Amino acid sequence: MKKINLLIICFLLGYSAFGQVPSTETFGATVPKEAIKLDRDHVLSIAHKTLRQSYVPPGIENTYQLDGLVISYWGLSVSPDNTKSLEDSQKEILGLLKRNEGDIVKNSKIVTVNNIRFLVYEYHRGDDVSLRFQSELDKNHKNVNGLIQFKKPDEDKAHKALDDILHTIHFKD
Amino acid sequence: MKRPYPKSLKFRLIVCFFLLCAAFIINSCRKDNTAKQQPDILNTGMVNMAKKWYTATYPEKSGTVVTQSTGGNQDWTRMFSPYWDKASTFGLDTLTFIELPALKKGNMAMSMKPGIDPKSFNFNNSGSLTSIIIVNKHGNFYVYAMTILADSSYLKGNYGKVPNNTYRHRDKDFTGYVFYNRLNGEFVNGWRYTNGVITGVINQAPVNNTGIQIQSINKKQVDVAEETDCQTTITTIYWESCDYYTNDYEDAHPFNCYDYTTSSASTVCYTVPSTGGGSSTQTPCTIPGNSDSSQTVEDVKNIIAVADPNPPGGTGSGGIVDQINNIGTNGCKQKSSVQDTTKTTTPCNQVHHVDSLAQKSIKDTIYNRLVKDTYTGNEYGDEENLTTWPPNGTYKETPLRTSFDPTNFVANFTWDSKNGYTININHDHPAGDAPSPGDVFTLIADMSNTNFRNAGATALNYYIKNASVTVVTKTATYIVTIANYDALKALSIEYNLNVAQFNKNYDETAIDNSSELALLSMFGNAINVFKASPNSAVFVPLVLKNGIPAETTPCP
Repeated sequence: MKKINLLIICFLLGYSAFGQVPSTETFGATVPKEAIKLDRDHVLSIAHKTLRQSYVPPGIENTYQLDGLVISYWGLSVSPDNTKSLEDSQKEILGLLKRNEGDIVKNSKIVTVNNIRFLVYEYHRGDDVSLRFQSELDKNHKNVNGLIQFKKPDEDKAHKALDDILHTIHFKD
Repeated sequence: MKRPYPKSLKFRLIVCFFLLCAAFIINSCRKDNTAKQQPDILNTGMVNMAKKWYTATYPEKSGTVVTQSTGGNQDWTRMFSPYWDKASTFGLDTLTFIELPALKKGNMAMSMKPGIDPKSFNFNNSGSLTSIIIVNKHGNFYVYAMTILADSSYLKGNYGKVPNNTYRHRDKDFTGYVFYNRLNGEFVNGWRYTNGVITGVINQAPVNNTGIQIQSINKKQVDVAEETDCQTTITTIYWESCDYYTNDYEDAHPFNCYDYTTSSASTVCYTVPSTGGGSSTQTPCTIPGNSDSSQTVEDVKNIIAVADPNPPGGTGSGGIVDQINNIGTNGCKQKSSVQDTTKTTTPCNQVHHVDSLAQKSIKDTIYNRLVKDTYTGNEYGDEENLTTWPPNGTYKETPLRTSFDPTNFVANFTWDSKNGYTININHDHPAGDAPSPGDVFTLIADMSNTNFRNAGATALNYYIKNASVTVVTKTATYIVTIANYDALKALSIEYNLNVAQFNKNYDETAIDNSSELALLSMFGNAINVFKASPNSAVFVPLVLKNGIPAETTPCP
């Protein structure tokens, strides 16, 4: 009986471990110290106001609230055979946004901060504004992405927060 | 001390065991029979939803069923409308059915007797009665006209017997026909009855026979061609279309009545025991007569399992078998040599065909020109068509063209000998994104082409296995094919329910990650995606590996 219990416990632990995906952040980023980290449930409740219920935002583990702004960032891997440049990505994303009725692109540009190139673009749907960034790929075919969501009156704060975050981003060796 | 009961106890236990087994078996069977039965209580909610859908889909019209303005296409809603107050509802095999008498503006009757002057046709003694069947499947409604056409041998002068036969019930001595048509007149399937038993399956005659014909408008004489092939016969429909004053709410005072006929060729095949050399059993799961040199007589004989015509819970039989919308096709089985639409086609089973299509497009400089077209900011495209059916390996490309739209190319799918048989659609994405949901669902939407639907199961199976959509970008070329038809069809239903939301879901994933990831994650195993370098005909499957879109190793 004891052996059976032990087997059951091992099975459950293994099953639980199988379901977890270890974090492999290859970059560092810091949000302003006044920002408050949001837990998963809170992030999902915000996301599911506009997105489908099954969707899990990629930045769910790194989402913060700061004075009316919701700031999130996440890392993405791409396949080594993916050779798209930031300029290609810029064109693709603008094409996708153009297809969405109601999404109005304010601007998009490629900037360099601390020797890392970022695609930065801003669009709004009504009063809700999204300010996004996407870095170039590092040597491990990974990049950093981020999103700051806010209302139009908080635009200046959002741009300041973006500038602050971009200056903290660095790729880990 | 003698134990009083051990032997008899053992005996009782054995008896109890067998009784329990018997009870289990009997109860299981009862549950199997009742599992599909649903109570026959009017589902008013469903009827109201159906009414709302029908009214929006078929706004009230009058006039002749066939007009020049409709290009000769039929519109039976000009004649029929559902009698909502007399609706009955029932469930069959997880689907909800609504059966309604059809109110008519004028009159209509089917007949196996051609050549009668439509003006003198006696509708009251025709033995023909049409009602409306609406099916709800996964939230979508499908509507059919069901026509009972009773033989005089069954009626024996008593025309009041026809309404005894409903969707779920046939009189024990019913002899006649049951036809199912869509409201555009298109024939779906039918059954031949003799003394209450199905003795024949009715399919539409092959396209190269007569198809649906307008036999007479403004003519007294009906000219009918007859051919025999598994007893191909012509069913004539006599119509009388009338006008009604707007305040004639009961349609009791028709005027300006106009009589005409239409007809369609049907192939009635009678079930005969297969002795290995005689005629094969035809089923509503197949459409006979389409020549397909790849399909042997053995294949035809082995297409088995007539769709279960006996709805549980009813004494009737002979239901709708709609292969396009997969209603009533549960019992249809295909021999493995004929593509099983529930199976998934692996990428490596398609890659050589995909490469071959690409080679043709490259040779015709289509890819090269499409890459250049991306710089215009507009989507350009063309179609790649088989030149013959059945295919002989030759294709032709239609001219490249554009609608001057940065996010849309309007393809022209054809399935005929003059224009060719569209098997691939090429177009560019100026923004460089992977195929969109709209691109993928073109594979399903194009199947509603009338010629394609009339082409039969062989064409359907070939298309499912070989059709593709190609997206050319500056950095890569993508080809999407059908991997699992049923899965893709189900997604297309979800898509059509709310296109904007589906696209929004896709775009959110694409913006947060990439369009390749959005495509692969949202469509899963419903499609195969292939990727190649620009202007290359060497495609490899693109799949999700550890959540990342990645090219796999090339197929052998």
